[in-house]
Amino acid sequence: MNAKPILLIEDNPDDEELTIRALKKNNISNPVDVVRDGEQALDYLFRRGAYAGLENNLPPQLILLDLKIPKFDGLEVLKQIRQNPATKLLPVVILTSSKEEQDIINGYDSGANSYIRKPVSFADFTDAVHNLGLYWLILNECPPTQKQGVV
Amino acid sequence: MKNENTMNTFSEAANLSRIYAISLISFILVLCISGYFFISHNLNYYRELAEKQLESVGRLKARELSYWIHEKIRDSETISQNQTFRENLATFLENPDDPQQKASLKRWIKLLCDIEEYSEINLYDAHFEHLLGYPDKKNPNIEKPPLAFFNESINNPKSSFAGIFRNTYDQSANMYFFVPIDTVDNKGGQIRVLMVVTINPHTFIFPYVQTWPTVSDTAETLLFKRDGEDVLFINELRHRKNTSLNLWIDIKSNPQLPAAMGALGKRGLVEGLDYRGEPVLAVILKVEGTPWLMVSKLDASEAYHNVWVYLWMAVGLMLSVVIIVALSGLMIWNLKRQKWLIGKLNVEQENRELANRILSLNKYANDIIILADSEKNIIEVNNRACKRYGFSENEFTKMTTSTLFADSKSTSMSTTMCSKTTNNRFESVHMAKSGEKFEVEISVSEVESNAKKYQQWIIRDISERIRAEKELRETSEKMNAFFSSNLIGILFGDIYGNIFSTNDEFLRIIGYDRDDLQEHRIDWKNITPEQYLDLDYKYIRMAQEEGSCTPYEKEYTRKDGSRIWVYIGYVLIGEKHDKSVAFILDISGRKAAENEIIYLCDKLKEANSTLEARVEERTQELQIRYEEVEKLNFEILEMSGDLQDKNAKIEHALTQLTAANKELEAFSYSVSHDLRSPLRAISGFSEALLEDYAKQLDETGRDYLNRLINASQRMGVLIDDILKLSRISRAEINLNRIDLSYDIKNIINTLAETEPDRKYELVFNGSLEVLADQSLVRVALDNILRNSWKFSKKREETVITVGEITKVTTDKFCVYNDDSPIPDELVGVINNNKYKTIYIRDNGAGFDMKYADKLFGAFQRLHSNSEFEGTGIGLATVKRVILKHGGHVWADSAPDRGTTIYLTFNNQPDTGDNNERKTDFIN
Repeated sequence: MNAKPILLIEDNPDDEELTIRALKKNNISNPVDVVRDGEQALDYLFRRGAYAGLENNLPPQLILLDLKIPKFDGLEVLKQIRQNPATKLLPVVILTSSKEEQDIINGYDSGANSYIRKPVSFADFTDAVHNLGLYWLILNECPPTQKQGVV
Repeated sequence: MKNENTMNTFSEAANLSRIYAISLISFILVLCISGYFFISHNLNYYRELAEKQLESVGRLKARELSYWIHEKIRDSETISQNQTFRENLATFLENPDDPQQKASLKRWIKLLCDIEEYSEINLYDAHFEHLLGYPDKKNPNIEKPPLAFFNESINNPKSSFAGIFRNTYDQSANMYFFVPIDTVDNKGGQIRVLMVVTINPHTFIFPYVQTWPTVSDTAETLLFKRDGEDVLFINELRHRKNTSLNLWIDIKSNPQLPAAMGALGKRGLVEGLDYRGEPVLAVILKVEGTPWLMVSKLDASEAYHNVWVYLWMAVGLMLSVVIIVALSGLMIWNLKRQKWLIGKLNVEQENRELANRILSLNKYANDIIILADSEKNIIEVNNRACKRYGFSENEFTKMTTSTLFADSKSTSMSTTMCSKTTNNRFESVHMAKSGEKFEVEISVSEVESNAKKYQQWIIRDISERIRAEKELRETSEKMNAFFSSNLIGILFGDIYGNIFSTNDEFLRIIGYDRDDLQEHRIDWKNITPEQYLDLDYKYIRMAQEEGSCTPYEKEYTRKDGSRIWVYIGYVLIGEKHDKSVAFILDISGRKAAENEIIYLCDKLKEANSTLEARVEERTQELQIRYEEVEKLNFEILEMSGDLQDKNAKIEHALTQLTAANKELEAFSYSVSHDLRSPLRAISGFSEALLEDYAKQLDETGRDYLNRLINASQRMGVLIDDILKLSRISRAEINLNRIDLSYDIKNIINTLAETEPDRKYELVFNGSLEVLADQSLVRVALDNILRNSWKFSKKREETVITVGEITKVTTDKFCVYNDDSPIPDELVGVINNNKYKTIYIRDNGAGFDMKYADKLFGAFQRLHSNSEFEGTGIGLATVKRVILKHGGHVWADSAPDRGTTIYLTFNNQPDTGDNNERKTDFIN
């Protein structure tokens, strides 16, 4: 199965572990690519720097974006994603750590498609994916393959 | 005018058509005459042509025939003179029965027949007995030529041509030549033998006669001879069969027949009717040497064929020309006539309109028009008459013109006036039906229509005119009186300096007399001192723009050289606004008084200047005093400078404080944010442990993990509340008039949904409308009501009462705690109209009022978590919200008796900050 990856942008290893666990626990077959800061995230998305060799890889099916990340913060990364024609249509789900942040996202015209509160619970994730209309592309009933790339 | 024109046009058209008809007829005449000449000329021409043709052909044929016959006679004579023949004949006659001789002679004859193309040769003796012949005949004595010629020829020594005859035996036509031959017979006596030579006329003579040398349908030549009273046609005719020697036509009864004419001796060209009765042209000729006559003829129709063709062509051409000319003439005439008719129609229309106009002029004319007969009986009146007199038209027709007059005197006068034939225009007085009398001007004229005489009365109501004249007269009398009254100078002139007329007063003012005026010695520019001319021009411009000027003052130079002050004003009239009517008022008296005043004023000024000197002195003294005061002021200013310094310091401190506050807020936000992260890890991994490794743990281990999870989740809630609190501090207030009951109902409904079995009652008292920020107040109410809900969970039925307090006395205020009366200050607030006080009361657990001061502090709890869970931040948030609104909050409670929270809202929010400070005491 050659599913498109889910890109997780998260610097906190705890949150990363919990998020990946939540996805895995719930039969998400897509590989999950993880980057740890804004710069890495943009390099990954625009296939440059350390990720220059990935040009032929499929673009991510979904981006899970934490707001508090080093170098460029989450909103800056989102802005760049939306400005670039190659990535501007990618669905982006923001990971929030508090209600406060949720309000910030609502306040800005951020271009986020949805948001999930951390720690990522499977129910929240399902709702977000539902809202994006990606349900059948991401969720399936097959047993999980052990494909998981941490870059 | 138009009428005449049209008539002219009409007579012109008639003339034109007459001329046209005459020219058409003469044109036709000319055509006819020239046609006649043309035709007759052609007839002659073609007749001559035919004659020439007929004559030449006829003559030729006749001559040829004549020659031919002559030749045939000579031939036969030659034969008769031939010696051999004669010898043979003599030998034969010597012995007519000698067959040898007979055969010899016969050979001769046969030879002759063959050579000369004779059809027969027969020899007869003097008794007309047949001697010999070729070809042989059965009955030679019977088959003989006609006897008549024989007798004639036997005595004639010369050869002769007998003519053409039909045989009596076989009816064939033959030409007979009789040739007498004198010889000696067998006894030696002289004997005459007659040789009859026969020639078939069909071999040469008939074809020759019958052929025509040119192409023609009717031309023919015919031979005939007189036969007693008839003519006999010899050859076969062209137009009738079987006629050769067979057709006799009576001469007398057919005098038109050319042959008959010929028989009667006529020769040359004739016109007549031929044997068919056709009109023909014919030439009659004698054929010499024969008894025959010859006619060569041509049908007149053929001869004149071309003429008829020309004639018909000419006639056709003429007819078409005549028709075209006639048609075009007719068309032109029609057009003319149409034009004339239209013209006539227009004239008639115009006449009708004119009549209508005259009628309406009469009817609606401003003058009264009355038509009366010679007996003065009114026949017709116009509308104006009915209107002015008030009689209807019917009433008028029963009246006479005399009855219109106001009195008998006027009537009699009118009679005399009317009898005059010329200039019968007069003024009189008429009376209307209402009895109103009015002056009229009457003009009576005689009119004649259809030999009847009428009187037309044109009456003009001149009462208005007379009144106007009177008024004008009165006005002008008034004006004249004013003009000559010498109350005021009046001048008629223009803007160029001319004065046309003035009254005496003006002359008096400038000191000139009337002679000066009449001899044009006065020019207002000349009598105006130079310094006033600009002023004059300025006011003239004003008058030109506005019609009149505001009166102004100026001076005139009088005749004696002195000056006089006047007050002048004028209006400009005329097309160019250059004629003036001015009034001039002598104000020299007033000016003198003014001068007096000016003089007095000067005096006063002098007095003033002494006064001023004294004032100056005093002022200087004052200045010294003032400087002293200044000095004092400066000192005060220095002191206030100190004060400003202090103010600045306070401001600086305030700024620092604000900055510190902000830093604190940011810090608390950041801390609570970062606190959440490890908390998430703790609870998250605990859950993971519990989910994935529950089996490896015993009951106690799982319990520990649950505690870990609960604890971290509680901490999460705590941090959220702190964040909320800090957010309220930062929030901006947006005041609106809102009704709290709506939010309260919503919050209670939400709470009730979490515990559907719980009984509760929500009571509202009075108006809950306040001036507040909706979202902030909702947070405060949420916290208060959550508490009420939470603390009353042990009651059988939760009762929450929300109401308004308008007035309070100290005694009745506290419900639960009689020992601690409400502070006076708060009573003052409640009773102040500036504030609106709301209370929220529950029947919950309540608390001891000695902890009241801790109630609104952060993280302050009055109940254990096992009894009532909570973070201790709720009421702190409430206080924060209410203070931000410039209001007050306090509580009243007793253990187990419920709690009442009081909130006041500032209805006039501008002084909110001061109150916030004041009410801090409750902390």
